[in-house]
Amino acid sequence: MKIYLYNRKDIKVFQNSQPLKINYKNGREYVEPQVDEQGRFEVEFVKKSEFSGGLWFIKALLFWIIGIMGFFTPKYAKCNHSLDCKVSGVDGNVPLNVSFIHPNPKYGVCAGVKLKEEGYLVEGAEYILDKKSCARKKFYSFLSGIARLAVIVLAVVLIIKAIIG
Amino acid sequence: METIQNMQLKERITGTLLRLSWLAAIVLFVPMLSYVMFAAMGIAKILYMVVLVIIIMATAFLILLDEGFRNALNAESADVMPIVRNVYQSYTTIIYILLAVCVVLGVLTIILAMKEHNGKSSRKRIISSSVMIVLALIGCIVYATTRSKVLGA
Repeated sequence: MKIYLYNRKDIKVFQNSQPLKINYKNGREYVEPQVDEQGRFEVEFVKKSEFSGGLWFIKALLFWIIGIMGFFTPKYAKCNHSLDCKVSGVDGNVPLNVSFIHPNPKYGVCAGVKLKEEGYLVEGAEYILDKKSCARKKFYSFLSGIARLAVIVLAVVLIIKAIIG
Repeated sequence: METIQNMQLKERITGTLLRLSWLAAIVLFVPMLSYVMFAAMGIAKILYMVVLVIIIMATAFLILLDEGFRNALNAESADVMPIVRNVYQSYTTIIYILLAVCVVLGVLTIILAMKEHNGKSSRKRIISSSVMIVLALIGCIVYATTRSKVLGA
């Protein structure tokens, strides 16, 4: 069976704790989960902040250095909400259409997962604010700004010294 | 079992490699940009003279009585060709190192993006990386063809 995914962004799809391959064809993303003998399937849509895991500081520092003061590494997601949504049901030989509505920090909306079709069990469809990740990200942003300023000031001082010298 | 943190780490590595390879590709184009700037300065000088001629004709040649304006007609522009030559000379070895960096990082990015199976994001990275490699190769060819012209001049 096929599950079409709309506005997925950085949400990962798992089945039996294994990541599913996300295909992209004709402008649409989709996954093809396995169904059991009874035609039942269960998939999990997961999103977690990169600041939620262990060793987050070391990883962030490493990429800040490799990415030349963090300028050449992908931006961290603004949204520090986590999602762990399970969708299960019986394969009705029709593709499933799943839309994702991401939280908007500006408007304080905690959205989640929406299914176009009915008759499927959806658990944990809403985003949950991850306060720990929020605090860690703010700390990283503050530290990164200070470090960039320090490096730029140091570079300017060294250049001036070189010119005068 | 691959955890979500591992997947995020791999995506971040791929994204960082892609950005660094684009940086190397842009740095590779510096000699050609300096050459274009030199050519642009020539065009700017022509436009400057055209504007002065328009002013002369608009004032029925009376403005030529002003000494300051006569001095403006004789003003010489700064010679930037030595700077361009220095840049080309310094890039003799650097450019091939940059090309190697672009190709290696680009190929690594393509391989990692293909293994990610991350839908639209993987496809964008593969296309971006491929475009970057082609541009880097074009940059090297342009440099090689203009080098003798710039350094020989």
